[in-house]
Amino acid sequence: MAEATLLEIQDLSKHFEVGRSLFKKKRKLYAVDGISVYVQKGETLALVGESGCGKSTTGRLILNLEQPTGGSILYRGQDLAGYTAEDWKRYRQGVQVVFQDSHSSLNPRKTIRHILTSAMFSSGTIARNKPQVAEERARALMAEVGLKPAETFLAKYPNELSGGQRQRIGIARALSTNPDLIVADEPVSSLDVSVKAQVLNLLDTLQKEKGVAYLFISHELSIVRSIADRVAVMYLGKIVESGPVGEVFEAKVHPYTEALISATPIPDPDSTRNKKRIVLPGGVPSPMDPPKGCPFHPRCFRAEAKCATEVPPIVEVAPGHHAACHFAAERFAAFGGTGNPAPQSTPGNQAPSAE
Amino acid sequence: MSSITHTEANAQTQAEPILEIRDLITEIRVPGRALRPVEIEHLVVPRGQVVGIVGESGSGKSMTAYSILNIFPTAAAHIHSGSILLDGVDMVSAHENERVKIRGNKVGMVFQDYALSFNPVITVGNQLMEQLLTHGRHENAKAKVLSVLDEVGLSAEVFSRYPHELSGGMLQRVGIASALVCDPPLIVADEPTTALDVTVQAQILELLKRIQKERNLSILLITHDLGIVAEICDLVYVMYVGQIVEHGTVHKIFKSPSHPYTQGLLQGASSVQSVGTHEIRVAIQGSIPGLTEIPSGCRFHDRCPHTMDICRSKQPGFYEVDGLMAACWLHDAEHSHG
Repeated sequence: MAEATLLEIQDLSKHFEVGRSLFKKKRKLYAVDGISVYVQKGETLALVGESGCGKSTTGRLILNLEQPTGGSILYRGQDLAGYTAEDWKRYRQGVQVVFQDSHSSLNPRKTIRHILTSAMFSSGTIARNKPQVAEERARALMAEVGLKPAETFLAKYPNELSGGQRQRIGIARALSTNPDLIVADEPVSSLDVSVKAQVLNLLDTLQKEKGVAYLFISHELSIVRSIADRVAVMYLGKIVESGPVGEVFEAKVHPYTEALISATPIPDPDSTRNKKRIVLPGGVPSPMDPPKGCPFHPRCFRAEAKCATEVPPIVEVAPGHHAACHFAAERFAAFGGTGNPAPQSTPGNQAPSAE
Repeated sequence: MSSITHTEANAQTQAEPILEIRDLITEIRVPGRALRPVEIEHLVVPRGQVVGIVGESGSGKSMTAYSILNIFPTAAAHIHSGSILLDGVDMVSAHENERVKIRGNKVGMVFQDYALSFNPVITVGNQLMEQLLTHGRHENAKAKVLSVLDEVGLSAEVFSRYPHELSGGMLQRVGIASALVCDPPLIVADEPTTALDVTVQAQILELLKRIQKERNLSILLITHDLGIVAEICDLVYVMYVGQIVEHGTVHKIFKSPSHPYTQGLLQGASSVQSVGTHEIRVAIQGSIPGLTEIPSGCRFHDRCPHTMDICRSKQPGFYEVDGLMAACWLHDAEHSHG
């Protein structure tokens, strides 16, 4: 693992101070609360969760757009905290980003040519006195992201392009520095179904060709399921379950994973109507005042007395498959023992409240 | 659906539908010309059923909803021609005074984004009361609002709260309460769960299903999410660039779609369901055209994998294929080649 590990996050935290005023005591918002996760070369790690769970903040911490309040990020084994200017330059070439909203992340006053070449110049990928090299590279990138003819698209402004085309420009810009990791924050969420498949397919092809790794941040489980190698499920700033995508989606060791999967409608009337749906009560608690014990226990359908008081340890249920639940081991055993993806008979637990 | 409710539904289908749209054309005036975001030949919502309109953004789904209420977000939009029979009353030819009485009373509307659609300085309860008062129902208005809040799973305490004090899921429940408060037989829900998280979406879908059953409500559900359609709809209309391209029962649409656009949409949606295959089938090339660049002939022809000559020149009519109605030349005996 150590050799192939590209990025390693250890016990990373980001606490925002909010509501600070003369008379009020300042409060802390626990956006990311002690997460540990790694990305290997050429793989896709998906970070899933609902809004406010801290998945985007994690992405921003990795991109150095926010400063962590605790823990460390290691890129190729080296801690970002000790980086020199030269290290940062290399990091910014190696780690790139694709944002969700291609409309606001591309400068409306610049042509696509300018957007791409300035990314190469300012990152230091191509020296400023070699505009011809940058131009050639820009054309090659347009071909790679499937925008033809390159000449026409390079001369356009972002508002002349459709959402799918703009997202391709966003990907081309990220690729312009030859990165080995791209943080993709909800890259297809604002796209239509038919365009979504096209852009996902492009990301997949680029990964196969260039061996680039993705940290794929998304709230759409169905997409994660088809594109990711490994998945980490986040809830209230913590990773509640992580592991190989197939195993996590089948075993559903953590009850939150189980609820998320069961809540996602499937485009098939027969199976979606017959499946037992777990409807969680209420909404996600405020990250300013996270529940004691297991952060999920007030909504959990399997919660017991100790869940309200004891923080569950992170258990490795199988190689590379971790879950933060008091009953993780039993749940995984029930899954593996019977081969039944939805174990119902964990001792002492209530049946899921399928409404 | 059990067999009893099924026969009931069939009996109701025979009765006059709650909503029937015929030859509707909605126009948006822009300098020098008029764009037509909606051109619907025929759309029916039978009583007590959930009908879905599914399509991508720019397909005219939301404009269809606005047309039904005959109320538009921009003054440039208006209904050009056609009829919209809402419980027997034509919303197109009716006088505005009459339409005001119909909105709320005969049809309730659920919007996508309730953070923007409530007045931030008036309590939730007073906003719901206002609807009843506008419709002249002064008696027991507060009791009525409280009972509707209870019906959508909110406590009485919400009555005196302001919109910003509620979470997204609670606001959407208030939105549904607001659509229900005058007891309309029909609800038009435009992307009611799109802005919500998946666990909250599940709650709202369960709520809609329960209320639909309890009140025997008719719902016109507008969404881009095929999963939600599969989950809750009885009938489905698929829209593409302002027109219906295929319609039929939900089981038939999902099992054996006969329009290439529907086929592509479903393939796209189901291929992202397969576990770790790393293979995403790109079912439809290109993207939906804008209203200023509507292709000639069949509007889908330049993205369609089965385009024939006639598709480029002439718009197809509807053909019946295994109980589904599809507007596609492939199903015309003369033009299909096997």
